[in-house]
Amino acid sequence: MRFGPMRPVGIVDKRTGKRPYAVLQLRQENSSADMYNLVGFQTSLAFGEQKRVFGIIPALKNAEFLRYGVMHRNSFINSPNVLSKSLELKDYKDIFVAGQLSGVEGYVESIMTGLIAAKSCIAKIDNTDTPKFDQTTMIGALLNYITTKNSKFAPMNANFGLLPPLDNMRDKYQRKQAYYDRSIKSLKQTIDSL
Amino acid sequence: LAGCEAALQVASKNIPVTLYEQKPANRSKAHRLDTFAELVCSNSLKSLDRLTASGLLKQELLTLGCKLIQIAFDIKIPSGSALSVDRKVFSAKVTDLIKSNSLITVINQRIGELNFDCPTIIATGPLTDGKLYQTLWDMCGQYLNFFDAVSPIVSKESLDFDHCFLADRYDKTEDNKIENGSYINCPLSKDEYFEFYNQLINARQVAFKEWDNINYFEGCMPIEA
Repeated sequence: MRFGPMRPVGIVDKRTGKRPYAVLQLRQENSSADMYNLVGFQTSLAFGEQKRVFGIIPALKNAEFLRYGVMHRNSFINSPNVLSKSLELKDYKDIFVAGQLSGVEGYVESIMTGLIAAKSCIAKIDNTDTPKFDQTTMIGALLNYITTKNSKFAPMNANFGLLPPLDNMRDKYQRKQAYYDRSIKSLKQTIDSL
Repeated sequence: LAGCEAALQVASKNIPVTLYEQKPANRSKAHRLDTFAELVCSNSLKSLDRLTASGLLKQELLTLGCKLIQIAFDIKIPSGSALSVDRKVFSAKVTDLIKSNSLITVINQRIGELNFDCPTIIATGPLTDGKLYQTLWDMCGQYLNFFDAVSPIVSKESLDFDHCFLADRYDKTEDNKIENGSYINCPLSKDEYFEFYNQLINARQVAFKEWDNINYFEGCMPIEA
């Protein structure tokens, strides 16, 4: 955990001027800043155990838990087998699947599939071409991932590993900037073609 | 999230939308609010930095006129370089936008079968269950699944501020305006850390029926695993 959610890198304890041995970070949860969530501390511990064990952390000795951590099972369809890139079911025309059911992971990724399913739906109703998103865009890369045959298919977050590589770029910052520029350029071409 | 975005996008093209929502009569284990677009795990939509993968995806979505990401930007709360929102405010904004749109008809009803005579978007989320779960199984074959977990929330006033302090990692803030950072950091000494660690890995977990074949998603793995 000292190399995971409790890693102390980049943190200086203002009381000692030193890096702590380990640290739990709390992130502001609401606009009035009176609720904080325990970053990376998702848990399936029994509620009483959460209070007892997390209470060992000095700052949380008397912490009031407004919500305990819980665990649940998440289901998703086998998209590589059944879904097309427009997010329409291959065998059931006019039925589209979006959100985490479609095999993306994350809020932003889910919102993306809602937007794409809507665009595909609109194209069908208007009898126009379904917009195509190039693999050099994060949208296109994610759609490609969830609809490509894969024996170990698992939900996917946006990540640079999905994009076609830029081999000639060694500098990390320059490479990311080039990914960004390439994506936005391609996306604008897609928008212009609609 | 996906369903709200889809409804708003379709309606923006002057196409009428019927939006089915099972709340408030039915609710998954993870949902608490009666309103739309409830964030059930973290309240962060990850990085604002356009040179991260998630930041790039956000910029692409804004370029395409995405409604929900725009709302998140409009109401963001301080959290260093991340895009975080008050989940109630976010949900209320999305709900207002949907309910005030005359082209969107909201029907609070649980759907089991898919026999609509118009294009249909299914965005019922990873906790889809009941009849619809079975209907989709019949259409798409067996589901795949994984387990994930959400982290606890504590009240700020109950924290011991003699034992924690405000700071961002590497003091990185979006605009360098917040001198103290926006995260509360709770440091542990070596002894405290090992005491915590030992208690954590030996603590009692909630039993799960499917415990034997559990697949965690690494982004949401329980801390004790």
